[in-house]
Amino acid sequence: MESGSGLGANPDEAVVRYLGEWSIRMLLLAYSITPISRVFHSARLSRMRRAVGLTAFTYVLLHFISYVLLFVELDWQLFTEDLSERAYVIFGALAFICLSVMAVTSTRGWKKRLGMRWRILHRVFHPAIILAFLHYIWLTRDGFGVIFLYVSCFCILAAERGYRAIKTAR
Amino acid sequence: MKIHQANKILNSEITPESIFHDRRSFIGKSIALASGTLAMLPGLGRAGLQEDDSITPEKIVTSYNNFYEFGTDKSDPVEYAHNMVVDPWTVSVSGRANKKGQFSYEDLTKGLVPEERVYRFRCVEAWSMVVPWMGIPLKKVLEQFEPHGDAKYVEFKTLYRPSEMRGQRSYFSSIDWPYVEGLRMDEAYHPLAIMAVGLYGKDLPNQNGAPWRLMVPWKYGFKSIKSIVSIRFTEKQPRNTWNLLAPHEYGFYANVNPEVSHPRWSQASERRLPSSLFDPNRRPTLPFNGYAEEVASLYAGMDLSKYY
Repeated sequence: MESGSGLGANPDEAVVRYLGEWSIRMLLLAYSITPISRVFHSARLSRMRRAVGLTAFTYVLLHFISYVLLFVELDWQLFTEDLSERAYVIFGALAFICLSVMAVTSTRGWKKRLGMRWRILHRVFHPAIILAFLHYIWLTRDGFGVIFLYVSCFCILAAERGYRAIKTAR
Repeated sequence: MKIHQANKILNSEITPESIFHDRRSFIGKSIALASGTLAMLPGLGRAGLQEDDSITPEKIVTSYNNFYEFGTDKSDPVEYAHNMVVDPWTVSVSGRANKKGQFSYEDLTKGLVPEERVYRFRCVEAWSMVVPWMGIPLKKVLEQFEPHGDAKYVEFKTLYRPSEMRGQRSYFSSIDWPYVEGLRMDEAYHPLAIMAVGLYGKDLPNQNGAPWRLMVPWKYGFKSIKSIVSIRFTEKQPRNTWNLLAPHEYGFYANVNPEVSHPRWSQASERRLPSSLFDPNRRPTLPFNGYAEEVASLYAGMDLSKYY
């Protein structure tokens, strides 16, 4: 009686959730590259930041595609209903837009073209991940332990950046 | 031999093997044995079933559960519910009734014969199953306590025992344990409402709410409270756990209603489990989960978009 996929009784849900979970984890990993490479004085690690960021975005993109194919089943009406009525879908969509902008402008060419503005633009990561957290919190009925862990990691990493920004400004 | 001309479905489709081969304990000795097949069940045994309904595999019913007392993942209950001690089991009865106090589960179920009921089961999370329950009509259970005429509602509570229920120990749960649910007395006395004591011809597994749990098939699954240790008759409408937690999402009535949308899930359709990647098995949700004929009259004149 086992269903073949090994994904349990509700494989669509399992796939979308798995990709969403790993999206957040990979985004946090990408966000931690800079401070970690600073601690270890590793230029090699810091050069990997874009690759890790784009890997994270791959998860985000797959998460979005799996939602559209498996949950919405390409039903345009259901999609617009979700986008207008369900807060967690709206948060997720906004985060996806922010991260798409980052992915598109991640190339060397865009970096050159935007110059100083590139760094400012890529601060959009902060609202993006906060939206992703809200997306996750809003769809969770109970059991907030994992989200608490993710938010804590983000707060520590963000605090480190804030602290450095203040120090260099002085 | 044609017994039930009015059958909507073939008996062969809804009679699971387990009921023939895998009976045990007192349930096995009860009506299932006497009747032999679902074909012999009285009308209520199959009420509400649709033509394309087939029984959900037992493994899914016993391993894909929401029982937050053991954790919030669907796989947590089957993994951790064995820690719950269900024997001995004491039930406290209080409120507007003549017979109150502490009763043992054995005393309360003595002489009450469980009946086989194959019910559609619809979770508020927009998935559904078809489950062969064994259950005692709730009315028979409750009448033992001789509730007073002014008892308009009945409230149920799940076991609170953090030492055996890891979800109740969690620091990251916002639920104020124990889990509480309630019904209006006329809902509780409806012949479709049962106190389930088994499924697939076996005793109820812990993850499904042993030793007994409500099964109110026309309501979202969260109304069918598990592992009940307290029954209280009351004049006032009791609060229920999910309503306390998110009043805009979960009401007291929680009747399955495709018309009333939910901030998390569209309730217009549901996924019948097992669903698969290439065949999501999505089907439209029916008013009162397919039991409108039997129960809609309970809510005559009520605005169901207000009393959701």
